[in-house]
Amino acid sequence: MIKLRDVEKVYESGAGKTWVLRRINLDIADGDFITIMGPSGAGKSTLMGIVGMLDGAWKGEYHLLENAVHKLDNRRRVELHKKYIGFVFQQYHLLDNLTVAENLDLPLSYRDIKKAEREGMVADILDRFQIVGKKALFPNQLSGGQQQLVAVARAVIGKPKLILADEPTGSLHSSQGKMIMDLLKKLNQDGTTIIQVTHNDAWAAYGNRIIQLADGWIVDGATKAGAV
Amino acid sequence: MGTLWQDLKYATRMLAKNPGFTGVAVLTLGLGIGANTAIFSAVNAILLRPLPYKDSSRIVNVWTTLSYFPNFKLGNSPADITDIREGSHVLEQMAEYKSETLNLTGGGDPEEVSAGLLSAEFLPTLGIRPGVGRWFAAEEDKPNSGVVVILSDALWRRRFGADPEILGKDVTLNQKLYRIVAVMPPSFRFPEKAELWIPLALTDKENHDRMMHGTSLLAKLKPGATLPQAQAELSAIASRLAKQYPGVDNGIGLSVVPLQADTVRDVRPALLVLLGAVGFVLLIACANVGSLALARGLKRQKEIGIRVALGASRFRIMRLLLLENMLVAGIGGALGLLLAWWGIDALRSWAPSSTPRLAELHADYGVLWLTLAISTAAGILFGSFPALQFSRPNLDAALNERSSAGSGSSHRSRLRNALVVVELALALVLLVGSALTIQSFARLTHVDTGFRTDHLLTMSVHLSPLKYPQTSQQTDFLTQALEKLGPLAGVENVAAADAPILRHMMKVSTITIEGAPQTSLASSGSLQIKGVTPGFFQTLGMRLLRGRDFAKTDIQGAPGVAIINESMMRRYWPDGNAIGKRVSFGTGKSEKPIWNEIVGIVNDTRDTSLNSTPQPEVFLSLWQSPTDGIDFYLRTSGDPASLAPAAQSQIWALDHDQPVTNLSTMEVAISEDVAEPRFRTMLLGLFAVLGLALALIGIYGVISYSVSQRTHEIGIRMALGAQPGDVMRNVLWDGMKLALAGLAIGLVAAFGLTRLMMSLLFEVKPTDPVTFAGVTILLGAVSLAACYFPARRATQVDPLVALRHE
Repeated sequence: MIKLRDVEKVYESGAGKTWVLRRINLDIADGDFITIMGPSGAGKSTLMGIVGMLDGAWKGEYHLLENAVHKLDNRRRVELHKKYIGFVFQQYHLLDNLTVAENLDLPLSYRDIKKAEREGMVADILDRFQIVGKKALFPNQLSGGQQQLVAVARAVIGKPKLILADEPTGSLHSSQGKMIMDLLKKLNQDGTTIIQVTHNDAWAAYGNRIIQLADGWIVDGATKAGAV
Repeated sequence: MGTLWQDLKYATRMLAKNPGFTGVAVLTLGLGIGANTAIFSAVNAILLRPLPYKDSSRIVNVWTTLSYFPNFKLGNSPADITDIREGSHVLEQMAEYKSETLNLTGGGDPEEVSAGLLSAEFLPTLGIRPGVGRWFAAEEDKPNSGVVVILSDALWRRRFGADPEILGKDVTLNQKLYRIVAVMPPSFRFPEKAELWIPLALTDKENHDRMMHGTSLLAKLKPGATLPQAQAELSAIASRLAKQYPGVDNGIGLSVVPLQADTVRDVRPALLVLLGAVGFVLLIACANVGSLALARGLKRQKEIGIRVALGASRFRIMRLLLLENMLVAGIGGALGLLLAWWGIDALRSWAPSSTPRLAELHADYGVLWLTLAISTAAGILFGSFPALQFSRPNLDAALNERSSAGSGSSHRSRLRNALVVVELALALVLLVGSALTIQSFARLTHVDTGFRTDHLLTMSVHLSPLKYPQTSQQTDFLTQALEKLGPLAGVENVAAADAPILRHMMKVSTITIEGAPQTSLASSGSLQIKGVTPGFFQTLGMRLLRGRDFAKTDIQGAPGVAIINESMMRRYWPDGNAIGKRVSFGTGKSEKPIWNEIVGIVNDTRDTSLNSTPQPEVFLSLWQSPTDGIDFYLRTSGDPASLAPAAQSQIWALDHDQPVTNLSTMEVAISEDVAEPRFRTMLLGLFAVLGLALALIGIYGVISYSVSQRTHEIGIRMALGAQPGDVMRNVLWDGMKLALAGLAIGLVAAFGLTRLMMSLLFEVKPTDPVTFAGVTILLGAVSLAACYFPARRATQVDPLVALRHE
């Protein structure tokens, strides 16, 4: 599903170049549940940003489902992103001034889906995540776990093939964290590819493969055959 | 369309959740849009909108110019008009008109009304039809048959109670009966201020007169003809007339001016300056709201980042941000519309009554569209910067809630700073312009008029030529009126003249000096001439510098006498030796000179208008040159206004059909004389204060925001030993750098732009250094004050709290 070849990310400043990612080679298959681990500053979030096409300034080759992302312009990347990728963030990143239902509707509206169809999809996801009763509430009226539940629902509402979860349980206590991880596992079992970043070994164990990053390099788990 | 509606809904909610931003932005824009809409409506109604006549763009006035009266445009002589009619191939549908005042009597107190004397072709040329009734028939535009009158709508309502049966009734004008044949629609007031119209009906003798330049000529350019073509043709006709009639038309010129330009000539510079000023206010408002929107955008980077992460395209983000800003502009526009509605009413009420086309200024659908256009322009102007800036957020920083102190952030900061610099520069130009007009107005109202303006009552009487056709009758009336007014309790002195003071009216003449070499009319120069009674100079408080005043013996039949002012003495007798010299006045065209001996010299006065430079002026004895137009001056010991009813009663005691006009104190006359500069000074001052307030809010907002952004840095500085004074200086310097840059740019701009105000200033140079320095110091000081409060807040930062801030 994903093939990264010699992907590099560098920040240039007056003091010289700062390498954030170095020669990343990575293969991820359809249906994988990947965990990326590593110390702070290792490049985990940067790698997620590149895979999620939120960051366009990098070098190397990136193939997503036979699409050569590195050759696409920004508009095509946005299209690809909307079609295949859902995001879950540590800080939930729900929009404070939108209700639960409106937050869920937002990614659909960016996909130019007709209103009646969107309403049906939002109703389905509210039902599936058992948050129908919360649909008219604003994020600040929800607990942290409930907010992350909505955030996951928002990530999957567009039926993405790939979910990128950047420390999805980082702001939750353990029982809420387990609920979210169980949910991600269930989505994975239903066929969604998941890449998560975590520092927690227990949550890492939910995945079928762990990739270790350090100082921008993959030090373990790049392919099923091992690190490059 | 669905998503647009959704974005609109979200934008509305965002604004409702940020009442502080929304309130300030809406109020700021509302004031800017309202002021612009009101002033532009006035500019549109008065300067731009075509006159409400058929083919109005082709209508022109033809004026006569005389080389010996270079500052005046005169009417034409009827005989010259005949030649123009015959000689012109570029003009068509020519029509003559005159303005006069007539005494309206019967059915109430006598009153003087402004009348238009029009040739039969006049209304058809303008393409105007009476509201009710008919236009003059051609045969009624003849002497002794033109006894018909058309009323204005205003006079019909005011004097005749909107009588529906008015047609066919008679009205007495100058003791003569006229039959009312029509009432004009309310919008028609031509010539300006005319309340009724009668046929011009020139006699054969008048039609052959080439001396009296009192008849205005209106015409249309033929379709396809241009103004330069018409001017060239008229200049050729004028040259021909000068050669053909050298005795009377020597030095004659003909000038063609579009009617619209003629109508609005006097108010055009002031209106354009006001339009520029409100334009500046709107730009300041836009810069201010743009700056606020940029600050708000910085706080919304996370939200925008989330939207992008959820798949929002740049277009959608820009659309959302622009929608929010357009919504602010829309609400601001609605507020502006209310303010403009009120402002247009206020302009109509407060503008001097002499403002042309004021009746055409009203709030209508045009104002609604104009507000919409200005609001949209403002929304795009202040909304496009933030929309462009924030539609491409730094996602890594935004989503991971890290400080985005990279190049994008500093770029935005520079943009906000630039907006503040622009605001201050614009405010400085506005303030300098306003300060110049205030100074000009102050000098105008404190100018030395050359006579005492306090305790002075004036009134005008125009005797009916039918009732007082002989000069002896006019002299009798004048004598009796002075005898009746003099003994009134509280009257110290009374005198009369044949021209009002400070009413922008003067009589001009040429001069011939006995014994001096014969000079051409053009080189002899013109001067003002005024007939006055003995005691006039004492009554007005003027100084007799040499010689004597007029005496009661200076009557018709006695040797002619004259008194001149200092300017005249300086021009013709620079050695000061004028007493005893003999001079003759008049055009000098084929007339035998009537000599007047100079018997006195008085000080210069500004008696035409306060802003007129004293001109050479000669005074003749009114007893030797009686006239039907008399202006009385009463010097009083108490309040002159309280004597007004008694003075009027004394005139009516002599002749109850005699209207009394311009009955007011000299202080009121001065107030009316300066009404136009006072009005524009007030408006410019208002806009300058508005601009200043907005600019200060701008600089305060930027420095406040900068302090809030720098809390962490300030905390570190204080933890490292910085004292509150160091922090205060640091923050103040940040603000004052912007202020100084704005002031520098503003000074350069003001230096260039205030020159455009030259014609509006009185005894103040447009680059007056004191004004420039004063305004710069003032704006610098208030900018410092605006920076002080955020700076003081910065000194109160708790380092422990600040270091946890990030």
